Amino acid sequence: MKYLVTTDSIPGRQIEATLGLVRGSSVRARHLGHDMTALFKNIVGGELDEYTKLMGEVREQALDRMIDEARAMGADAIIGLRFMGTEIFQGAAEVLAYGTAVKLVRE
Amino acid sequence: MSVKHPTRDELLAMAYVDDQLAAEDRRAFQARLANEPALALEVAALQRLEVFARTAAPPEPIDIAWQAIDNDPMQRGTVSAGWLFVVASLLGLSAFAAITLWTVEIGLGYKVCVTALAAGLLLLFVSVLRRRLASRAFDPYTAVKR
Repeated sequence: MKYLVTTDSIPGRQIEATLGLVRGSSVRARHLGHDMTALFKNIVGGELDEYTKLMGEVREQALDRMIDEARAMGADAIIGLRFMGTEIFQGAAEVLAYGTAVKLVRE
Repeated sequence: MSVKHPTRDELLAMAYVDDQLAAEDRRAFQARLANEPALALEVAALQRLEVFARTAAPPEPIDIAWQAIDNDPMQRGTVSAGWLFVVASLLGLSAFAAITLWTVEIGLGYKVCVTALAAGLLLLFVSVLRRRLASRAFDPYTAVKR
């Protein structure tokens, strides 16, 4: 994917066609061992790096799934990219990435 | 020194991950992925590299501090001993619970039901674990740090 932006347009590029909504989501969890160490870190404070990693994993997977959907539609770019997070299950993270797939006018 | 040239499949996998294949070639390659686990593994390895490159961030001072603490023999010993005690005590408690169940004066039906429940949960857990271990090589996101 050439362009992946949060803005509604790409400076210097013209949009030829709007292909529609694309989205990708993922729900992931760390194993119980990480949940246990995170529980202890919750008592003493500081960054819960187990969950920082979890959020990174789930964000990248959701992003890739959205990009794959845009590729399948023949898009050149995704504009208006947004992330949304919810919690479905204790200790798991869900991220939904969505945006608008567009075809750009050839340079 | 000999130079290893990439095979045609390796080149195709690289082009696929970099989104350089034409739509028709891409569909054909995706169809092959469904039937060729070795090729799917090659693509997953390349995707892991791509995800790693995209998410690679310069180390923060705290990363160095954490690494030093994790490498400290005292810390490693504490963590290893902690897990050993937890796992050993869980196994021991499970064994005691099983022995108690079959020696205590209760109905045979109750004993059979509790044992079947434990066995069912264990089998379900094994199936999930087996699935996870088999799919781990195809999961490029395990390399993401933050």
